[in-house]
Formats: sequence, C-alpha cells, structure tokens
Amino acid sequence: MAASVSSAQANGNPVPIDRAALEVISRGDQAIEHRMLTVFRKANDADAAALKQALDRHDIISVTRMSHRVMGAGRLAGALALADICGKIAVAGRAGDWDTITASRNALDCELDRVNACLDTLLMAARSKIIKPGP
Amino acid sequence: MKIADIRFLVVEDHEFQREALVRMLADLGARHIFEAVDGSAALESLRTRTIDIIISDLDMPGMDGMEFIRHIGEAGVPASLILSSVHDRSLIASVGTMARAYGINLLGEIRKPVTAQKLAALIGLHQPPATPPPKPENMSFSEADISTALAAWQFEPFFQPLIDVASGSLQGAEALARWCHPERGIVDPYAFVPALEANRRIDDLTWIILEKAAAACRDWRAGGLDMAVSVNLSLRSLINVGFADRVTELVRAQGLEPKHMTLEVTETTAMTDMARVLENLARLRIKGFGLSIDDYGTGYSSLQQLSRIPFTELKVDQSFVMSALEKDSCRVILESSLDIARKLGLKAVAEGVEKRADWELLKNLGCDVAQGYFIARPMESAKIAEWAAAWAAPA
Repeated sequence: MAASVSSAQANGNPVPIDRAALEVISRGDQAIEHRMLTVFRKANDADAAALKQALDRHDIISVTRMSHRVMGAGRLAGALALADICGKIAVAGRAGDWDTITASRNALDCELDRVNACLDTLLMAARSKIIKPGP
Repeated sequence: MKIADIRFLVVEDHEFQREALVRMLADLGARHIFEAVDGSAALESLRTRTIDIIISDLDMPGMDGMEFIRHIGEAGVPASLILSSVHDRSLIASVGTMARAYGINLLGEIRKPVTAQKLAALIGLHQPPATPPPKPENMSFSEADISTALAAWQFEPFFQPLIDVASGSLQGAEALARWCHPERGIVDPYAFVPALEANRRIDDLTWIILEKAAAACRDWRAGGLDMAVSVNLSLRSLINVGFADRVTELVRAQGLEPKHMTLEVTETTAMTDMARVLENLARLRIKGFGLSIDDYGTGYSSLQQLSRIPFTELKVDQSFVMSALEKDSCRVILESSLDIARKLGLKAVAEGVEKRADWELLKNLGCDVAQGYFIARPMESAKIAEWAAAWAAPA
C-alpha cells in the first residue's frame, strides 16, 4: 500500500498523508514513525468523532473549535487535504456560515476515510519493518 | 547556553502535537523536556522545578494559554517563552505583546505547524536572566520618601552609549534616571516615576538629572571624548515658559554649548498647554539644543507631533527594533520610521538593539545611530571613558 500511496502521488492525486511531514519528525526512524502514526491515529479519531458530533447537533462553537484542532494536527502530520477541509470549516464556523459547513460534510467524511485507510496501511508497513528479523 | 542544558516545558493539550514537539526538541539535542497538557498542569510543573524555556499553545481546554501567561507573568517566573498556535499571525502576535506587557521574555511566536528549524531559531535567542528583576509590588514609596530623596539628590543618571552605525564611533549617551536608594540599592524608574508624578515632583527629578547629566558630559569632553548627552523630558516640564532659558543657563554654567545636549521628548497624554510647550521648544531649537521625538510610534499622535514640533532627531521605539526580525509588522514600521526621518532630514536613532542581527539590520536599513544592550547597558558616568576605550564596533 505504501507503493500505491507513492503511485497516487506520482499521478498527481494528493495523498491522504504526506509522509515527508512525518519523516521530518522521525528522521526515518521506523520505530518513531510508528509511534507518531499511532498517536496521530488515536488523537485524530477522538477529534474527528467530537467534530462529527458537533456537526450533528449543529453546535457551531464546537464545530469551529474541533475543526481548528483537526486542522492543526493534520498540518503537522502531513494530512494536508484534511487540514484544508477543516480549515474551511473553521473559517465558515467563525463566520456563522452553516451552508458552507454543511456542504463540506461529505468532503470531510471522505477525507477522514482516506486518511484512516492510509494510516492503517502505513502503520502496518511500519510495524512490519520494525519486527522484520535482521540478516 | 547549550541546548542540552536548557530545561524545556512543552504546554500543549494535543497529544500528537505535544509528542511531535518533544521529538523535535530531542532531535535538536534537548535532554530536559517536561510536558503539560494545559496551563494548570504547567503551573503545577513550575512549582516543582525550574524551567528555562516554555513552549506554549494558546487554545487549550482547562486553563488556556492566555491565562497561563498571566499567571507566570504575575508570578515573575523567569523562564523565556515561545508561543505556538494555529491561529492567525496577528492574533498570536497580540498574545505575544500581552506576554511582553507582563514582563515575560518572549523569544517569539510560531504559527503551526512547528518545525525544528523554527524552534531552533527561537531557542537560540534564549539568554538566562543575569539577575532576577525586582518585583514591582515590593517597591512602594511615600511622599516623604520621595521628598527626602529629592532633597538629598539621591537620583543619579546612568548613561547608555549612542553609537554612530556607519562609523561605529561613540556619539553620545542617554541619561537614564536611577534612584541610589540608601537601603534598596539602585532602583529602576518604573518603581519611582509613578510616585513622583503622583506627587507632582517629576520636574524636580528632571532638573537633578539635567544638572548631573550636563556635569557628566563636561567631564567626558574634558577627558577627550567628543560626545553629547541626551536627557528625557516630559512635555509637561515644558509648560513653564522659563524652561528654555533655565536649561540654557544650566548647560552654559558647565562650560558646554546647547549643541552638546539633546532633549528627548515623549507625549503620553493629550496636551492642553501646547502653545507654551511649542514656545519653549522653538526657543530651545533656536539656542541650538537637539530635540528628539522619543518612543516614536507609540503614545499620542506621533505623526502630529512630527508636524508641529521642530525636532532634529527621531528615536524609534525599542519595541519595533527588538521585534523587527521576527515580526513583519514591526519591520515595516521600523523601515517606515527610518524613511520618515530621512525625508524630514532628521537623525534616526534606534533603541533596543539587543543582538548582532539587530545591529546588522539597522546598518542595512541606513539607520544613523543605535543604542541597546548589544552595545552596552546603562552605566555610571565615571565608567563611560573606560568603556569607550574598550569599545570596538561590530565588524
């Protein structure tokens, strides 16, 4: 799947997670990358769930706050498309623009699915490299 | 200070972002890194350990970054601060200004995402405090204290050198009032000027400093230093129409000419007796004194002052100089101020020069004169000659 991520990038489709962002932090250390991916997955799951709940109950203050939070972590983790969508929701939230927020919901759900699928793949790949027996 | 010896406190509620920050710091060589999930946890951490640099988020559940900054500011925590936030730059900069207003040594602000390079650049600015600053709440003075000090001439000017940026030569020194208190030692003006103003004795301080500064300048010049002296005035001192004649007499009595003294003027409140003030200022200019608009860019109507007072010098406020390399807005204001000075034919002076990069920036921008800790801290009159002999301008 790591290969397919690279293929998608090569084809011009934005990848859900830009690994270069994480490599800046992990410096290529697989154990650190695995740890960072795990922490990001856990934190993003919690943030995304809180954001979706806020969207469902039309709580614009929480929507603004949580989308802002997902955006900040997403930028750092390389989930740039997710960060962009959340950035737009946060701006709309501050403007009280529910139409834009509602229109962004599908894009948010789709991108969260893509990010999670990519995270699962990257985690599996990182784990296999960590436990791979040496020569 | 080596990064391995610096104790960091990372205040960030988001687990992933906190972990990433810790990793970056470790990668930069940090060995002492503590973590807190919000302001309350950070304050708890600060109760049990000494921290050199705090890296704090702003938007956190529980105690947010702004409240945390207020607490550490009011408690006088001597740590330096780096702000990191995903909010827009103007908001982060505003909180940075708030932190400075609390007396916190703000190293800078980072708009997320944080990178190791941004962190390293700001950490490099950290300098451990030489001595803990006295807490203002410990300093309160009665009217009797003030009267005694004025009668005994316990106020002394300390002098901070003014350097010609192009040539590196010593051009003058600004007199900064200190109270040589018989029990409390050297007291900074923030502790006594409000009391003097409240008791309407600020003019008495002004005359003591004027007289001692003129005497110091006479001694320097007699010792072979071709330099002038600058003294701060409140516009309120200029309401008395006899001011110009009296200060001229004082300067001549020391064997100096008016051109050897620059009077730095600030306006912090709206003036009602502007006609009298302008009369004095015009007379001072005619007699040959230098007139400097101090703290330019702050306070009341700086631009209006420029248009109505015959200044010879424009002194850019230190807040713009100190932050010019980190904040685009401050750099633009600094550049514009220097441009205004140039176009009006005024000498441009920058105060608050704290590091080599500030000096180099001013040199590149064509600033005439610089002043600040990078050059020298304020010192007693008698030490100026020794300092001048040892002074070597930065290459």
